[in-house]
Amino acid sequence: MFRIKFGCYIMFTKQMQYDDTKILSIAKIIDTKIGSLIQRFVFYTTSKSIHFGFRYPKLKLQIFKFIDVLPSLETKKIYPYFKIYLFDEDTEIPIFLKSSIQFLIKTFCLGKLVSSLILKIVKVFAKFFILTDSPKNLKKLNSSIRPRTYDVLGETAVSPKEAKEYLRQYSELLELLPEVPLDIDPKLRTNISIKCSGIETRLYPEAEEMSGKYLKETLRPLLRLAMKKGIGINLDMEQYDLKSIICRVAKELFLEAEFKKYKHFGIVVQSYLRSSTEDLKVWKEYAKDRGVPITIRLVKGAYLEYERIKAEERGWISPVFDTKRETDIKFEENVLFLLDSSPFLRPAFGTHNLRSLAFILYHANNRSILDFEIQMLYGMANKYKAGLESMGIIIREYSPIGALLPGMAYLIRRLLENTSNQGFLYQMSLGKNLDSLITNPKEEIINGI
Amino acid sequence: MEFKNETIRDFSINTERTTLHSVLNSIKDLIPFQIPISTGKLEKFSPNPFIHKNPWSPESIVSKVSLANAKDLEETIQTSKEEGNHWKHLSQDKRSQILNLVADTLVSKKDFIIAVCIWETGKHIMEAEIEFAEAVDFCRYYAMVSKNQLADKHINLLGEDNSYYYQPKGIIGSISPWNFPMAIFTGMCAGPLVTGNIVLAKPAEETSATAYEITKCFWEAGVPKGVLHFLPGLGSEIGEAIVTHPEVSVINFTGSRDVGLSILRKTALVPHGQRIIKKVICELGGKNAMIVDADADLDVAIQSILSSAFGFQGQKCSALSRLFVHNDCYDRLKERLIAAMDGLLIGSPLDFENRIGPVIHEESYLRLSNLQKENERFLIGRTSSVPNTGFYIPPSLYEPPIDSSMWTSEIFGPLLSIQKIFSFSEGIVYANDSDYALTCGVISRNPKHIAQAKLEIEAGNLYINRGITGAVVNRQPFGGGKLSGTGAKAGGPDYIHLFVEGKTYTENTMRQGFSRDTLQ
Repeated sequence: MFRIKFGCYIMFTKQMQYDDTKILSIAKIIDTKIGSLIQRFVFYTTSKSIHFGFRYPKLKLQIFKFIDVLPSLETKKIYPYFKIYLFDEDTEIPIFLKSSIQFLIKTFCLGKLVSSLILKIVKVFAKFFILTDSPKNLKKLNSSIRPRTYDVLGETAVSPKEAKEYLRQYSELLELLPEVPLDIDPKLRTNISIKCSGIETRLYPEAEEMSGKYLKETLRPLLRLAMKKGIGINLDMEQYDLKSIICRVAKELFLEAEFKKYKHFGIVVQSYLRSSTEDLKVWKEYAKDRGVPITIRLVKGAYLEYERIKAEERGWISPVFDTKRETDIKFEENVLFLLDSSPFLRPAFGTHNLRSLAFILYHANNRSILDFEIQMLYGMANKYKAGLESMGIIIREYSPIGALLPGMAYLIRRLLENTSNQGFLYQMSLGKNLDSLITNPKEEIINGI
Repeated sequence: MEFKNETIRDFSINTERTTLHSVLNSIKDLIPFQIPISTGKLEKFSPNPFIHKNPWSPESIVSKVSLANAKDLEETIQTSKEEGNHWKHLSQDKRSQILNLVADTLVSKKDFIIAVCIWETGKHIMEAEIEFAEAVDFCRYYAMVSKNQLADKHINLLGEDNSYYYQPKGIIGSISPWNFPMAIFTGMCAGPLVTGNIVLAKPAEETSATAYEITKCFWEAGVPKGVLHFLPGLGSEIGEAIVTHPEVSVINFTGSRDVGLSILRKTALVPHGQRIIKKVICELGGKNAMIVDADADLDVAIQSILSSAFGFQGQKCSALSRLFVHNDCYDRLKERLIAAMDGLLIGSPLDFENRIGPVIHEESYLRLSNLQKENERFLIGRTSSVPNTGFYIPPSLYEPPIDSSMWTSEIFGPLLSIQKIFSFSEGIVYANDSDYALTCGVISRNPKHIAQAKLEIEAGNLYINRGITGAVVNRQPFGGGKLSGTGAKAGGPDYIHLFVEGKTYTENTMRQGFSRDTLQ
């Protein structure tokens, strides 16, 4: 029995080796078909600064904490906090440097100046990741060639009043966006991503039925408006607590008579969840029954730390995988499942990982599937976007709209993703060669056997 | 032995909800519960029971509680003399093992006990779930720490054996409150029992049915009825009798400050014929504060305030009632908080989406309604939609002057007072200006202020950047100082020491010309 198993493995490995070679060559194309000089420069500086962050992890943490508190500070208090977070706390900045900077600022009374300077720098930085501060300014923007999925940013909605305000902003956005022609390439169709907990506060896992009822009531007008204008709607996935409610609502709403025929609804599946395979299967069956496809945005997931901490607090088995590798393996598995589920499920892949991108392109091509999307965050991995676009792939940008400073919490999350220890960009910044960066996440297992 | 906290269930799983729903609904057919007295050998019912009504639909009676009296107490003490010695002489391992069994038995009846508790108290399902886990934790945690900490300690010299060992205090009167009828009742019995004492459990009248279900779990797991006695009844009657009985050595009390202080006064007198100096452990009230700093994350602040001030309708001694907010964010916080309060759903706890349920009984309802009327001119925000029937008090926010009694007296309801401060230090001065020192919260992102708070704030439990209720066994041993109590720190490593007495024996092992060691 062992031999049979072993034999299978060898065959399996050979096929995989072939696949991996192909995937590597695609990755090289994405990576080398570089866009403008500016994009190359930005990419270079980002990876350098990330590398810097990793040489000084305490400093990085303090900078993040500082940016996190920044929106709550009056301008004149910015420098004092900068001092507390970066000079008074233990960081890798040498003491002589700390004290000479402080001395200079104190001697020349530069506190105020430094404060407003810091604010300016952070705002400039935020603009890289936040599209604009209000839907009203959308028109002013140099309309980019890329299709988008818009997202409204802000503080947590803690009251129905605040939730209504978010809802109003989403409606405003829908009103302002131009109507989308019926026969447009689905990849170009304007889309909106909705964070359900932003527009409805009464979401309680222990009262799923009622929560679902409230959320459906809130969502219906948005869906109607979107349908009228031919805009796609995607329900974002948030923390695990809310998954059940959001999925239930999506399933029930999209089957309601007025929405049943609409082809441009979507939802998210997070590969870091142990349940993601099961979730995808459920969606496939659902879409078959509905008879109209659903778009599934496959992502790895953005609440990893939060989920682990919550699970530990409650004594639960963590709903997310423990290692990045397991998530990567699951992601690839899910990619294949999604591609095989076309046309019932319309795949939309959200990733900035070169291996994942090349993996998707290779297998989509193998299956001759054309109707799938690649989605990336606004302001991130522009070099890859250019590379993919030069290959004829259309990239949809997930584009946050919201005030720059309150949007900072969002920014922090993006930064954390970028600089997480196992993050792709970090690995890259270490100067590893491309081949080692895009190894098959499964490989270690096979080598282990 | 490693201790692991009992898990909180994931109610996003459909079956978890539906099972609990059906158990909750089944209570309708079982009420009114008839609650007996257990004096060790027999169970009996008294005439003229105490009637406890359902808090959200007062037309129905949840329980009819027998009222124990001094005669019943005398009976229990007699039975204890017969059975107590056996219990006391069991090994610590054995008693710890039985307490772990109690935990397992509780878990096996989880849904039913939680359901009874919700029907008696009007508690939200999640509050009940967390409280239940705490009850189980108490059993397992005290079982573990007493095994680890109460072993004999020997210091043997050449010709002298010394031993330091622990003996149970004897008979413990555990008088518990209605607000945590699962956790506090269980903890107040588990601590003294696992260390070898006799316990006279006197639950609150309002929650005797819950307490009785729990007591049955203790018995079922192997704690003899002659060791754990169940004496429901009135504080003025059976409570008083327990406190003054000459053979009760420890009064373990959780409840109001007035009652606690009167117990201390009464037990200070040693009447003729009483051969013990009584020890009193008391966990009294709180008038807990939270300081919101200029740089606070308001999302965190508001979520913490809502759960701390209005969770279980503010009927927790750890509940937030004094809020000090920095000028820089005062207006913004106030506006967002009032809007958030208005979004709270009020209604029967049988509908899980409701965040706020009724208060415990009519008396509380009338007292709180009066307080609301008296302070109406300071009212700045209130949850607007309230059901017509049931003892519902809408969460309310007041801006009373600093000399108002709203700032000093414990309210035990969902009424919160807010005050502007101009510096963090001013907040600390206000927070400390209280008879109580139970819990306190700080919402700040200034590391200097957080360090200052740790040093200067007078509270048994200080919470930073989170809510101030929901202490977890082992992680946050619970209890305060000043007039909040004797600092018993329930769920902490010192608690079991309150029920034992250190003793020593010394034996001279020299014989003429040789010692133990010279023979080897």
